[in-house]
Amino acid sequence: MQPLPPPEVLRRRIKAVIEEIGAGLGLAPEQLAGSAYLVRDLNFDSLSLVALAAQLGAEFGFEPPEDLFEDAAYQSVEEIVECCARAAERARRTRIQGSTTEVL
Amino acid sequence: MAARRRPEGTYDVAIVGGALAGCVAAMRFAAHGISVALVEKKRNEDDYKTLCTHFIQPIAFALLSRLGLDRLIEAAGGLRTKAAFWTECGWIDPPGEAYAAGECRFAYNIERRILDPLLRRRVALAPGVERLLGHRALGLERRGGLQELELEDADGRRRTLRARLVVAADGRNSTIARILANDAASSDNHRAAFFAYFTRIAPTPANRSLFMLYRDEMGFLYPLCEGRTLLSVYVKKERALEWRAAGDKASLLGSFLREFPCMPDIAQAEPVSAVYGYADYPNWSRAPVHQGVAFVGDAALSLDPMSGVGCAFAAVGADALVECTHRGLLDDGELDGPLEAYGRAHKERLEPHAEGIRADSLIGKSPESVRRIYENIVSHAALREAFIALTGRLIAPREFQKQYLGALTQKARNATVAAA
Repeated sequence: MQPLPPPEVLRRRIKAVIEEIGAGLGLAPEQLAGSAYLVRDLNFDSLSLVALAAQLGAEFGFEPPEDLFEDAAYQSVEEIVECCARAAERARRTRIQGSTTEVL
Repeated sequence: MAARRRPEGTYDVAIVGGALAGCVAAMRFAAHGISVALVEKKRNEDDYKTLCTHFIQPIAFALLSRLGLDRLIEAAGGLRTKAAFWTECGWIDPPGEAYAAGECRFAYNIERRILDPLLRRRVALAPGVERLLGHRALGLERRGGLQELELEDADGRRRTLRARLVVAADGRNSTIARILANDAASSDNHRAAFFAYFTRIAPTPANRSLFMLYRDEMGFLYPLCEGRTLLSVYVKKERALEWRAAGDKASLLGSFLREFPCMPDIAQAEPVSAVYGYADYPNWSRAPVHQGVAFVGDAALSLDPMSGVGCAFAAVGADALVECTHRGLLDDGELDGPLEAYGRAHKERLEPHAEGIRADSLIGKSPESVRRIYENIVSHAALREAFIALTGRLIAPREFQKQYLGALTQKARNATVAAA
C-alpha cells in the first residue's frame, strides 16, 4: 500500500479519478452527484454511486462510507471528494495504530 | 447409467417441452440414472423453433462439451464463431478464434432446423428417457409426494403421468405456467426485429458473427452452414411500422444493412427465406420455481432475441436444475430445498445478465455516454477482451463495470504522474 500523499494532493487525485470516470461515461461533473445512480441503463449495467465509491476505495485504500449508499447524499463532486479523503485518512490512521499494536 | 425402475407411468422427472432446455435437462438427469418422461407437443421430431438467432453463446461451451454435443454440432455443420462488434468509434474484435486467451471456448452458429432434431435424436439414445411426442399438457396437480400430469395426444386420448419432479421447459408461452398461474414479469423492448436467410454472402474472417451498432439501431450477420447467412436488424418501432407496410422487405433489410460502413459486400446476396419479424417482444421472466415445479429455458426467462442468449441460457439453466436436484431425486429425499437452491442458482447465474439485457432493450440513452464508453473500450485492449467476454456471458456485467472503472482510474493515475 502506498503511503497517502499530503491532504491537498490526495483530494486532487481523488477528484481527478472522479472526473476521469465522469468523462469516461460522458457525464459532466455536475451529473456525478445528487443521485444514487449516476447512469441508469447503460448497455452493460447501471452505474451506481456505490460502484464509484468502491472503485475510489480500492484505489485509495478505504472502505466506502456507508452514507454514500444513500440516495442524493452528496450534492457536488467536492462533497464526494471530501468524504472519500476523510475516509482514506481514517483508514490510514487505523492501519498505523494496528501495526503499532502488533509491534508492541 | 441405467435408470431406476418405477411403477408403470411413474418417473423420477417429467419434462414438458422437448427443445433445447428440455433435452439438455433430460440428458443430464439420465446421466445420473434418473428416469425421465420427456413430453413434446410436436408430433414430428424434425420440427424446430423459428424465432432464434441460432447463436449459442460461449457460456454454454463447457456444458456442450461435457455432453458430447460440441462434436455432434460440428459434425452437423455448426460453425465455431466469435462475436465482433462494430461501433461508430471502431471495432471491438480481439484477435484469436477462441473467446479468451488460454481457454478453448467458442460460440456456435447452428440453425435450429438442424439443432432441434439433432437433440431429439440424441436424447432418444439416453437410457431411462422415454419420449412422448405429440402430447400436450392439460393439467397438473400434486397428490401426496407425486405430481400428476394430465396429457392428451393428437387423437384426443388422455393419460396421466406421475413424477416426483415436473419441469416446465415449454417455452415463452408456457402451458404449465398458465396452469399454475406463474405469471411473467414483463419489461419493455423498444426495438422491433426483422430477419431473413441469404446465400451468396462471402464468409467472414474466422466465421466471425458481426454485430454492428449505430445509435439505437443494430444490424447483425451470422454465418451459417451450407453457405447460408442470417441477416437480422433491430430497429426502432417507427421504422418497423414503415417496413411492415412495404412490399419487398428483403430489399429494405439489405438497404438498411448496407448503410453500415463496415458491412461486408452483400450485393450478390440472394434471399432464401421469407423475412420474419416481430414488432413487440417484451422481456419476460417467471419464477424459476413455482408450486414445486421447476421452470427452465424460455419458460423461465425469455429475453430480447437481440441479446442472442436464449440457447445458452436454456442449456445453462437446465444444467443448474440438474446439479441442484439430482441428489434429492436419487435419495428419494425432499425436493423443496434443492428446488430453492435451483431458484437461487438461476438468479445468481442469469439475472445479472438479464438486467443488462433489459437495459439494452431500451432506446434513447445519452448518445454522449454511449459514444464515450465505446471510445474507451475500442482504445483499450483489455477492455475489448472484457467486452467480448461480457457479451459472450463469460463475465457478469458487474465484473465488466469494475474493469471499466479500473481502466479509467488507471488513466487518471497516469495523467497525474505525467503532470507531476
